[in-house]
Amino acid sequence: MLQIGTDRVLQGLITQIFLRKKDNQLPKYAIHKILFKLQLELPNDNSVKKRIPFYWYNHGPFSEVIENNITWLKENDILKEYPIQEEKTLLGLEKEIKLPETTDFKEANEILNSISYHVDFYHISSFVDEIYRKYAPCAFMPLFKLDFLKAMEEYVKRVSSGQQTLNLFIDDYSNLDKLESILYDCESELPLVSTFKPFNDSFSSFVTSTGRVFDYIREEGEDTLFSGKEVLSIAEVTWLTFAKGIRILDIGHDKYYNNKLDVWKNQYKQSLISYYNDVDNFNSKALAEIKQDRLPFCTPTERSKNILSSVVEGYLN
Amino acid sequence: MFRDHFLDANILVGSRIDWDKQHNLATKYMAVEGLKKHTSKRVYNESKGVFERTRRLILSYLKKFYEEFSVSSNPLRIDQIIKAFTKKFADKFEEKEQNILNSFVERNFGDIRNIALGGEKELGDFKKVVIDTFKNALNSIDRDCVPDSKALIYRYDGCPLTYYTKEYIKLSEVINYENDILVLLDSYFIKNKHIINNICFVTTDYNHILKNKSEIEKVLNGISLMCPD
Repeated sequence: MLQIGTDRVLQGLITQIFLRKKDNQLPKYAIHKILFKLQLELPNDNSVKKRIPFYWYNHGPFSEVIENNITWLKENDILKEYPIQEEKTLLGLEKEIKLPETTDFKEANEILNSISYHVDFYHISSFVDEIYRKYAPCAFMPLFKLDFLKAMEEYVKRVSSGQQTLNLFIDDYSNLDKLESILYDCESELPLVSTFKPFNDSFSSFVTSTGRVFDYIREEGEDTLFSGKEVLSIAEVTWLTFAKGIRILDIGHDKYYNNKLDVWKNQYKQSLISYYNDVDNFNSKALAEIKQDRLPFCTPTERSKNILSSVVEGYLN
Repeated sequence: MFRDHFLDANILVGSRIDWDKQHNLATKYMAVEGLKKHTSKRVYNESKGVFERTRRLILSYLKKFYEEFSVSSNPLRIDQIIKAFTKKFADKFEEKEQNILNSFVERNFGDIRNIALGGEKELGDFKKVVIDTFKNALNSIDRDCVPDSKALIYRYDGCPLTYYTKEYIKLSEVINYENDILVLLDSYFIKNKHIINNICFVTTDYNHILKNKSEIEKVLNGISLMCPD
């Protein structure tokens, strides 16, 4: 049975992360990710490996065991929380603690040092990127969370600060076409298991309406803060719903959490109903904004006719 | 036959290839004038869902095909590789989706071969054609089906999610698929609450609906099942 809140081994490892750099302050979820990497790299015969079970959730790999030990460290003034902006805090080490002297701990600590050495704590996003792209249980996750969602957040921030059109995007996502292309790539990487069928259907509906919003923005070229915010809002709900589903799958959690599956399944089922309604509302709002008779229509090319005919024939047969 | 018609999803879907009036029943039917066409939000969502699921299926197929083909391939055996890959990919899906995928590959074999030979640019170009094709089809459904009596197809958004317990139970004795039962009950609700006159339920679905025509019409008074041929 794993000890919750009094695991001196985990507490020792958590505090060691902060000692990598002087006055190091880290977001809580970075600690989860660093220890996730540790769990992957520990040899199977090291007892520490089983002490840090994970599941994938809203902020990537998450461990309730680590979370409880972080809480314990905060309550005992070993870690302290520093607010940086609205609803965001960093953790800092207030005092060091006595470390266990077991062989397994020493081995884990050495590997942890090696991992921490390669993490740029001032630009933690590149480490986050690595964790998602290399280890996420589903290719949809880095595409949607790191590519699409991040780009939409940046867009809404820019437009809120006064920069008007989406075409002023610079850096990696320089135009609307690329953002839309990412969304279709996300769609093609959705999990194929039956658990995700209702999610996938709602997601595809979200993609259709977002495509319409982008087409409208391209055509109108006017201030799109309202449209962008609506897309971002539904995209955030999309991620939270997806995360409730992915942790249910075997690839999404360690066996330690199997006794939580019934509760998780129920939460996911409720979130799917809510997501379906949210997407439906988003679709209606997009159509109310754009108006049905303004939806673009192009005379189909021969290739388009071929594609559509094959789809319809396949469906009707 | 009655002037008010309720359209099933296969009519909405089938009529998106409006250039194929000669061969397509749904397209021929939609060209008939003098009828008042109705449908429900459930049918509208189902029709859109067909195109959205297919878009997802095809884009996933193209992505995986390109990933697999660009890594290990023999350009001299492209056709066999495409067929083998398609079979392996399609096996993961249910029969309906397999039919759609096989139909798509067969009719667009040349473009898929070009992706194998041409690389990322060909993939990108063809993906854009696929995406635009589905945008057009989905936009046309939204242009035609509107909650407005002046629309080409009057869409009713207020149908309950579940209702008519007695009729539901009787219909489930002859129809296995719940969605078909609910669509039939949508037409019954719309007829009773809004249209009042008797209506035709128009569908090309023989296996679940049309073959049970007399039983269904006994349960749903005022609904007459019709195939557009």
